[in-house]
Amino acid sequence: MGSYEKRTIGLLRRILRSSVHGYLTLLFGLASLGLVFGYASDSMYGVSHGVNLIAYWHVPLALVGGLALTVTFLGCVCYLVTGTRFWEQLAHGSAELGFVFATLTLVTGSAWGRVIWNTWWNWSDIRLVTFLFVWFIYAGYLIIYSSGGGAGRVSRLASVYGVIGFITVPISYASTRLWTARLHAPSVGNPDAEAAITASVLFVSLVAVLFLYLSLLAARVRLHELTTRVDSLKKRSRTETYKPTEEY
Amino acid sequence: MDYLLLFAYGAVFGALVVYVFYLRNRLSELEQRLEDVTAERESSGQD
Repeated sequence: MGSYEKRTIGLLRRILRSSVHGYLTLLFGLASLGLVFGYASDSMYGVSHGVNLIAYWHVPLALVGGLALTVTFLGCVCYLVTGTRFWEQLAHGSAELGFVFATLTLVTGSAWGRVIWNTWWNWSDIRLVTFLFVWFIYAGYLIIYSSGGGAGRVSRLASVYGVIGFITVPISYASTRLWTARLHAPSVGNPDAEAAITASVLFVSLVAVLFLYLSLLAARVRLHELTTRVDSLKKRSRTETYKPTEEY
Repeated sequence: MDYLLLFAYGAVFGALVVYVFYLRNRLSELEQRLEDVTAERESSGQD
């Protein structure tokens, strides 16, 4: 392990082991819920309906989900280059959370769409279809990873899959600009978007979801590290127990 | 409150609770494995 890599891992471990993000999750989470239900506008796309309030968590879940899958990609690349277990564990922990957030994005989006678009799902909307594709790709990654039980060859295979599968993530996020979207319209930097979302509330929710991701990732990575330590202890114990007897 | 809004926010918090329980379950499993290793070492030390 190079000194630069050692320093980077040390810094990441310090960030993940800190308890600050747990408290910040609670603080921003409560602030977000208070603002969503007490202050935010529920009038969007020309429709005034209570269900519009789900947008304040749907958008952050989608954005942080994308960030989590990007961390998975970076972790997979670093693991394939260096072979350090930490990167593999970070990649898997982040993929698990990215998958949970992507599932919640689909669920909250469907509930929102039922009112705004009058449909739970539409196969002709490019964003919906590509996002579902991303969901399946990461379900595949998690299945491959769990089938290996920590074996080196399967971990490498899962990492290669994680690197290649990541191609779908930017495609899905840019899909509304690359192709004509039936339902989703590009919102960032689009003056014609009529979402009329309360930006300050969206920002607080985004920070809350970001800290939530960090807290859960920290717990998942620590669990991975503990598993590795218990496994090596078990291996060492077995080697000591079944030491071959000396020949006379 | 609109039932769809309740369903959507309920799904978010339900999923988070399930994930935390999953982590707790993994931790209990790990504790059991650690206990097994400790017991194994102790029994081999007595032989």
